[in-house]
Amino acid sequence: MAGNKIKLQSNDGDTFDVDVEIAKQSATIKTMLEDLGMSEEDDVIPLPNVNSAILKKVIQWATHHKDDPPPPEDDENREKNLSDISSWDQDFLKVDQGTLFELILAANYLDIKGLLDVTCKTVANMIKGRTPEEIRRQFNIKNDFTPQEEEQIKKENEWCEEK
Amino acid sequence: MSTARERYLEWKNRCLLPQLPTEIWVHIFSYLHVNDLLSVRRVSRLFCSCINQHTYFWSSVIFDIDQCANYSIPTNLLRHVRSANIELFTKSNIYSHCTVYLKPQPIINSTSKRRKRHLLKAHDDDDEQLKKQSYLRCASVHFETLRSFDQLQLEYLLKNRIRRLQFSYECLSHEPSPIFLFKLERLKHLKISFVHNIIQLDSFAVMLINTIRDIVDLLLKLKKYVLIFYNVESHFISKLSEYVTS
Repeated sequence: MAGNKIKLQSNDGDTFDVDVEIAKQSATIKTMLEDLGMSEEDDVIPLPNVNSAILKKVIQWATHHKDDPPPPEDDENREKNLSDISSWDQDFLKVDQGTLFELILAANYLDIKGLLDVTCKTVANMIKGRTPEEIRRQFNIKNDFTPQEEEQIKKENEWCEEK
Repeated sequence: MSTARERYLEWKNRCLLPQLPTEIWVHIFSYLHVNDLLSVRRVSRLFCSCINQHTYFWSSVIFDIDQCANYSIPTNLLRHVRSANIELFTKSNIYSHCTVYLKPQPIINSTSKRRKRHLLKAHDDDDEQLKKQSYLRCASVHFETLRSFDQLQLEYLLKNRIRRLQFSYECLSHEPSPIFLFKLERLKHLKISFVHNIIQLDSFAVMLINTIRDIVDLLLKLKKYVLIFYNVESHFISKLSEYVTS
């Protein structure tokens, strides 16, 4: 019903009033409400894995996408397209890398498939066409291969590229 | 703001990046093309294992092998072929749902020398036909003795991508083609169990096929018919024979 609201509480104590239908884009919250019998009026749903800044962003995204059709079930045969990110989402995700990763973690925890897909696509776009060293720099990843392992993978890759 | 300060802030920002769990990286990698996955494999152990275990990477590589047009194998690579990475079991009731068989071999099945010559002559002008002489087809495969991560990967394959697995061996008179097997060999830890019922292989049907070496042997025997008539003395073949008989 329109107008029904629930309270979502971030891990730093802030509470957000959100339309139930918007909040239900999160499968995690939907399950809490439907399966666990939490009532909408009096309960505050604590979200211990999400801070208020990120929760605010998540609510902003969910509000914008409230009328979207439900995302299709994961189908491995579905063509995975990196370029089908809407311009609104592109603008929404123009954030620093830390925030982007926090959003991914929140989307994963709250089980919001649409948000998870679009954030992961954004990271995939950051990897696409980059060299291993560039990827390491981008994500602050340490090269933990031994020289032998590195050589082995290089060889395997050459073999994979063989025509 | 100075450049050094910018660089410092950039570095600090990267240092404070939250860690993403493996399943998220796998999801991210699922959007990438194989060419990008090749780069990602070289980034770190975590990325490499993510790709090896949870993405379609190897399936793309393995199952594209037969699309590969170049069947020449450098002779010196043959000695690296290890045995027992690929196991084939002979026909058994337990595995009766699985079949691997060879397509009819007109040359092999013929007992008449004249007939064989005739067939070979007919194929002489028809390269495409010749290519199909040795054609190992695997209608369905039962993976049993795989290591856990290979098994997951291959089960994933069968579940999601490959309903029917078909390996074809193109057999040219001057180019034996165990390259496919060779490539499988190079995949460390990959262990595939084929269960086969070589009903159309006649005299070879009783062959015990347990290892890659047996497969090479089988291929060589199949080819021998072609090779004898074509009188091809390739260095590769002699090496292959050496390998099989050693």
